Parts: sequence; C-alpha cells; structure tokens
Amino acid sequence: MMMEPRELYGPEDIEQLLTERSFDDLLEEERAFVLRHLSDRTEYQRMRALLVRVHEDDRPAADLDADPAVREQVISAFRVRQQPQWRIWLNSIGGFLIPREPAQFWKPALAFGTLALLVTVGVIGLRNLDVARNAEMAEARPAPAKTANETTVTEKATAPASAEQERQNAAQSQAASTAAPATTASADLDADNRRNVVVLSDASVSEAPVAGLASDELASELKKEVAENPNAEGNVPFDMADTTIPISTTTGHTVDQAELTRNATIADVAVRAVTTSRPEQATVKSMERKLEREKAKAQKDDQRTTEATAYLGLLRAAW
Amino acid sequence: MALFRTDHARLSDERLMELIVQGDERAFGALYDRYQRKLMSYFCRMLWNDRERAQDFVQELFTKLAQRPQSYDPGRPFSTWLYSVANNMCKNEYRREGTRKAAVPELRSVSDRVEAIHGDGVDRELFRNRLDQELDKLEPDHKTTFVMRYHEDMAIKEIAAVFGISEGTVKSRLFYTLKKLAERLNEFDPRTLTNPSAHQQAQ
Repeated sequence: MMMEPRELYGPEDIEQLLTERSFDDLLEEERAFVLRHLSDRTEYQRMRALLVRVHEDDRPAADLDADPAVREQVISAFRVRQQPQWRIWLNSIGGFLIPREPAQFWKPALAFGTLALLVTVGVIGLRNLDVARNAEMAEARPAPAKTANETTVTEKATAPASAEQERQNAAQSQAASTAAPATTASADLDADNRRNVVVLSDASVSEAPVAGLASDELASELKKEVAENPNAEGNVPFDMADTTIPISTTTGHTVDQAELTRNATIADVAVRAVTTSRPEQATVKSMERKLEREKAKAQKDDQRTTEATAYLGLLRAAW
Repeated sequence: MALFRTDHARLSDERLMELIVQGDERAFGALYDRYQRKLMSYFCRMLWNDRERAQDFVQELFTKLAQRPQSYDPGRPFSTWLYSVANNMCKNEYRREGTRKAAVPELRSVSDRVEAIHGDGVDRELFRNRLDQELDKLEPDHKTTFVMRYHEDMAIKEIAAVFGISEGTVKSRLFYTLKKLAERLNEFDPRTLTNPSAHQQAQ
C-alpha cells in the first residue's frame, strides 16, 4: 500500500507565506505551491505589498476612543435596566412633575389645572345630583288628609285591582285542579248576574273578620254604591252583612269551590261597580257556570250511587 | 473592605458577563473599557471611516448589552458573540446605506475625496481611501472577514466562530479577497511607483 503525497498547503495557506517571506526567499517546494495558485511572481509580490501596507495602516489609537459621554450613557442604561420597574415609573412621574428646564413647567401646571377642573366639576355635579334626589323624595311623601270624594276615587281605583287579582288567583287554581278546557263566555251577562246572586245567597259565606284594609274599603264602597243606586244594572240587593269577605294575603292556600265562587261573585260585583271590561266578567261567569255544572254532576253521581246501593240491597235480598 | 473588592480588569469576559447578568455595574464598565476601542476601530473600518457613526454603533451595541445581558450565550466566547452582533449591525447598515446610495449616488465618493485631500500623509490617506472603496465593493462577508483578520487582528478560529463557518472557508475567503484587492490596488505597488513603465505594463 503506497502512501500518496499529501498537499502541505491549501491556497488559503499562502497568507502565511506572504506575510513572512518574499518570493525569492521561498523554498522550491513553496514556490511551486505558490505558482500553482497564482499566475506569476509579480502577483505574489503585489499581494505581499498590499498585505504589508494593510498591516502598516494603523490608525492613531486616540481617535478610536469613544467619547466619555458614550460610556456615561451606556452605564446609565445599565442602571435603568437594573432598577425595579416601579422605581422607573416613579422616576418618570417625578421627571414629569419637576422638569429640569423651567420652560417645561407648563406641562405639570396644565395637568394639575385640568385635574382641579375635573374635581370641581365632579363635586358640583354630585351636589346637583343630591339636590335632585332630595326633590324627588319630597314629592314621594304621602299627601296630607284628602277630602271624602278624593278618597273614594282613589279607593275605586285600587279596589278593582285587588279584586281582579283575587279573581285571577282563583281562576288559576281552578284551572290547575280541573285541567278542563276553558269555555268562552257567550251567555247573557244579565242572566249570569242573576245566577251569581243566587249563588251568593245560597253559599255559606264565611263570617270570618275581614283580612286587610282593602277588603274593608271595598265592602264599604260596594255598600255605598248599592245604597245610592239600588236599581242599577248589576247592583242587586243583598245583605251587606254577608259581604264580610275573608281575603287571603297569601297565595299558597287551597281554594275550595265555595270560596272560589264567593270570590268570583264579589269580584264581579266590584268590577261592575267600577265599570270594568265585560270580557273579564264573561270569563268569570263561564267559570262559575262550569262549577255549577260540576256541582250538578256530582249530585247526579250521588243519586246514581244511592240507586245502585238500593239495587244491590234488592239483589242481596233476592239471593 | 478594599481587600475583598473584585479586580474586574483581571476577570475574563465570560466571568464579567456573569456578573453583569447579576447586575454588577462595575463589571459592565470594565467590559466596556475592554472592548470600546476595538469596536470603534471595527465600526470605523466597516462603516466608511465615519467616526460619529462608529460611536453611535458602539453605544447602541453596549446599550443592547445593558438591556438584555441574558441574550449572551455563555457557551460561546464573549468576543465571538460580540463581533457577531456587531457584524449583524453592520450588515443592516449596509442594507440601509444601499438604499440611501441608490437615492443619492456619488455622495460618499465626493466626501472621501475631500477627506483625502485635506488629510495629512497624502499617500497613506489615499491608500486608505482606495482600500475602503475597494472593500465596499466586496461582498459584506468578505469585507468583514478581511477587516477582522487584518485590522482587528482576530484569529482565523475566532472569525470562523463569528460567522459560524469552518476555518478553511475563512482562509479561502481571505485568499481570494487579497488577490482581488491586489489587482485593484495595483497603483500602490512600490515597484510600480518606482517604475511607471512596469505599472503601465501591469495594467
């Protein structure tokens, strides 16, 4: 196995030869190597001259020092970097509030002036707001004692609302318990009113004391109106002692049929007294008719049960 | 207390960087003092002998170092890392300057001529200006390699580390750069100066 002759120099290694020796000082081997990469002796000498000249071209060191100000600036940049952020923030605030140049004082002055203006406007605005609120509260205070007519009118306005609420509660309870389809009112309202009177007189009206001021007022109002217009439509004579209606303030109690009928009837009378709309009355009437039908049906069922029992007795006797 | 004070001038670059990361201001000052002149020289050579611009670049470089000392990779020699950052800054400046030159041609050559006429040591100044002109015509990497090697006296190994290339590539670059410059700066050959006929013959 033969060892191949190894190239000692690459073209890049000529630099060392250029720096150290002239062409004449090169060894034969080195000269051959140089001439493989360069055209001739002249090129070698030219490159060598350039290299020497470049090495000689040293600029004065004093010129190449940066200004001391540069050092100060980079050191201060380093200091700023090392400071906590909150301190930087405070410094920036301080720099803004107390500028180095007096000509720049207009900035903090403007800022403080704007701030003072905003605070003043804010305080004034808040005061005005308080005054307005106080005025509203004064208006909301209860008025002094009213005259009799005013009281009647006010109560007329409030009574139907409570009666209507009662009627709605009763209707909802009834609808939930029976789950029957609601029938529309189409019958004659006068006939309904007559029937209601019968129901009112037949029903076992509770003698419980009136619960709440609204029922008292309603009763007195009804009484008064009936007394004034005994023959008016819907105002039927009845014993006002029986109109002491227990009005429940809670919504969660179970309403029986008698109570529902009574409530509906009284509500109807009350609504008529303040001239409420007829469709609402019709709805109540239809429900009352429905209740009556159910009542009649229950009586029939009782009769059938009695008859069935009689038949069974006969069958047993025959047996 | 002075006995226990660290002599930052004796510490290595890498150790100083560790202290800088910890917030040691004196270490930062020592590192600045160690490299500011070298970098001024480097930037002057690379940025058309513009001293003011070189100063700005030194400041920018050290400001970057102050703001983000963590960006230094401790696995690399500090000088290599520093010069690679400087090299990138110069490349960016060449790009910007290329745009500027395209907008205002001849600006730099005129200023160079004026500087050459008013400088002391006319021959040296002429050579310096011609060399800078020819260096500007080279590829940025070739120019940087040349400046690092012959003006900053950096080792081939260091230059290779700055560029992330092999030492052979650095040597090859230097060889061809030298060859090209020697051809272009033929008028400064002493033999041609003493023998104009030889100069004409060479041309």
